[in-house]
Amino acid sequence: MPDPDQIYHGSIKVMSLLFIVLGTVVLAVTINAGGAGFTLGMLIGPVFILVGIGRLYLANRMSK
Amino acid sequence: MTRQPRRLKSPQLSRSMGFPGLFGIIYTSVGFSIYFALGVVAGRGLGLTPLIFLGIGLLFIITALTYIEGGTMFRERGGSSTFARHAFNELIAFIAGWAILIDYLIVIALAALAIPHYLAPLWGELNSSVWEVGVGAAVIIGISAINILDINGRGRTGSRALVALALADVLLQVTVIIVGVLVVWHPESLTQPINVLGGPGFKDVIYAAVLSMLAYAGIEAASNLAPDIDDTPEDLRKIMIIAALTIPLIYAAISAVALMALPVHRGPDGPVTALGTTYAEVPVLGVVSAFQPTWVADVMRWVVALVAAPVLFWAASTSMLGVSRHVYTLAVNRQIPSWLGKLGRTHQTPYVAIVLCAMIAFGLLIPASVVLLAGIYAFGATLAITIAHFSILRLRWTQPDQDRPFRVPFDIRFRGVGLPIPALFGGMVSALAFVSVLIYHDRARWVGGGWMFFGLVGYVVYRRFVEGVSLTDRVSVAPTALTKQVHAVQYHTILVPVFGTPLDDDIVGTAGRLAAEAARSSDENSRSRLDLVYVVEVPVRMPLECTLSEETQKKANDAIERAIEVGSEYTSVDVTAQVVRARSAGPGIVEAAREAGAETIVIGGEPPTRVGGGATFGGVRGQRPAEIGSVTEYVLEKAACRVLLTAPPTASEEPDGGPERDAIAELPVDTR
Repeated sequence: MPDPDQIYHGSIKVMSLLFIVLGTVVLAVTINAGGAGFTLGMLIGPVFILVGIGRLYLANRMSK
Repeated sequence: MTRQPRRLKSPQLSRSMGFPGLFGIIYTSVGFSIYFALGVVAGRGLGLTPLIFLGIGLLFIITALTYIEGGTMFRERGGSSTFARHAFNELIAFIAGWAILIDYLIVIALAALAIPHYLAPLWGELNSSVWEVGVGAAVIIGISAINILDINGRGRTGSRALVALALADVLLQVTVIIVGVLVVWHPESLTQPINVLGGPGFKDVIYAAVLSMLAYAGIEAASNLAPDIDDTPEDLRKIMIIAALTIPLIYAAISAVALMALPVHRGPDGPVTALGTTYAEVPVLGVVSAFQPTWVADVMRWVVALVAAPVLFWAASTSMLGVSRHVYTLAVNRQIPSWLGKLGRTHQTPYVAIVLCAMIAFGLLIPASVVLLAGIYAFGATLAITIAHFSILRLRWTQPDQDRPFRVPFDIRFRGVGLPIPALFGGMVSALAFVSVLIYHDRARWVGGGWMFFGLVGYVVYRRFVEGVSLTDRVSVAPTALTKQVHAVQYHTILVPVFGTPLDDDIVGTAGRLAAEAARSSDENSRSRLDLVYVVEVPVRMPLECTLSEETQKKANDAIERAIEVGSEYTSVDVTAQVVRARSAGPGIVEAAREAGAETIVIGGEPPTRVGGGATFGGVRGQRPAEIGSVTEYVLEKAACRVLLTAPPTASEEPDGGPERDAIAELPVDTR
């Protein structure tokens, strides 16, 4: 059985990338549909991207 | 040697869990609240619910920073109450501690209330009010038993199960988000202006924002874990920061999905969402029930039932653990009567506190009103968090040189002291939130206010009139005083009354071992003294100096000689003996002890009655305990020194008819 720490750190990377992809898709769909104002998509998309990037950053920083 | 309270030394956390395990535990300690908080917040926050979670999440992050600084600084249990104790005084610490006490109980009640509803996909009858209360009561009884018996996930298997449960919880919440986006997300909703989703007014937003603090319930419990985690403050800091950043975002994401699944619509009384009505008690179940196609909803309902129910049960148990420790801390600091924090002998758990808390939690469960409980929760949380922030600020001022493994960042310099802006901001916002509870939450104002009034009156009465101590000074009870254990005391001068009965050997032997132990524990040349005394009772009609009968003299001499023989077995103990005359044995013993300057008297009690029911059913005497005779009773009342009482075993307990020789361990030390 793999080490729980390895599973944990691996899952962090997968989830972080998933958040980034999801946020990018939301942002792209919102802009494509003409909702580039103060809309839900313009709020949620960047938030998801920031979460993904932030979590990846923290994971990398802590593993050093 | 004193026993350490096991529960207060090594609960379920340990280094062996590793980073993911600790993260899971801390995440779940806080993140379980989404299972009942989402509904009450969405009920008033409507379409702005995700933003409200994000906004209050910012306050949560700031609050977490404050708790990390305080928690790593002191490494004591008590959270805001402990910070206030060090920063201000006992009265402020009590206010914070009492406010947070009701919050612990509310979390237990809410979790117990939600469990039957979350289990409803498995058996629909659980949604009925009878089962709601019945299962809720069973949950409360179950977690009480777990905490009293101290079986809270100890050991390797238990730890792994907890980690698995915590990770399943995280996974479920992420799954709800992902599946929700895939099955209920309508691309057009992204392009709608945010206020189109439902237009709560200013009052509703404030109301919902305060209620959303319920979603971050558990921060006190999480901070209480600090002393138990073997990890370094740096590890703890990392875990807490990650949890503090992750939780608000997951909440916001789940609430966004929830509003897509159960959107706001126009009701007869204005905009409404089923999250705040039909599914107020089980919002996450409501969200997945709205998923399409139906089979996805069915699968997700089962998954939610199988994960949410045990998570909520564990959360309730953790809250019970938190509240029992909290009450213990209050008792140790004499903020409440110390008997409330008394630890059981076998499991070293504060069983009195647990039973009382269970009863109060059950009382809170009965109204079955999530909104009411959330309002009261907000009352306590905003008050305690405000005190926590201002405590950290004051500590920066009063103890600037104290070692702080973690400091809240972004200081501003004021008169040479660095004050953290986040704590300043958090303190002001949470104070305003507390004011808003007082203004907008009628029932919470009265229930919460009543709770605080009751606590403060009790505090003043207890401190002032029972204990006779200051309201603001710290007065601690030694933790060992709250355990049922024999005190390690030493006596160098012991008086032993002998009566010429077979029990004398046992009593003299007991006293001899105590004296020898005292001599051994002191320096090499130290010796203890055993004063043996036989009291001859002279009737009032005769002078004390009268000539004693030969039979009486022989009985006295035999008793003394036998006692000297037993006492002389202890080489480090000097033995003296005397026969004294008195009108009755009790005063004779007390006077002999006074003249000898005895530190203690070791005396035997009468054998307990063999009549079932004791004194009531024909035991030794009327009001006094059956094992204490009139002589012993007199000595206990009148002696100027300590009295050790050793009760003989009953005949049925003596296989050889002689007294138990190892009675020393059973000595109930001086109750006066």
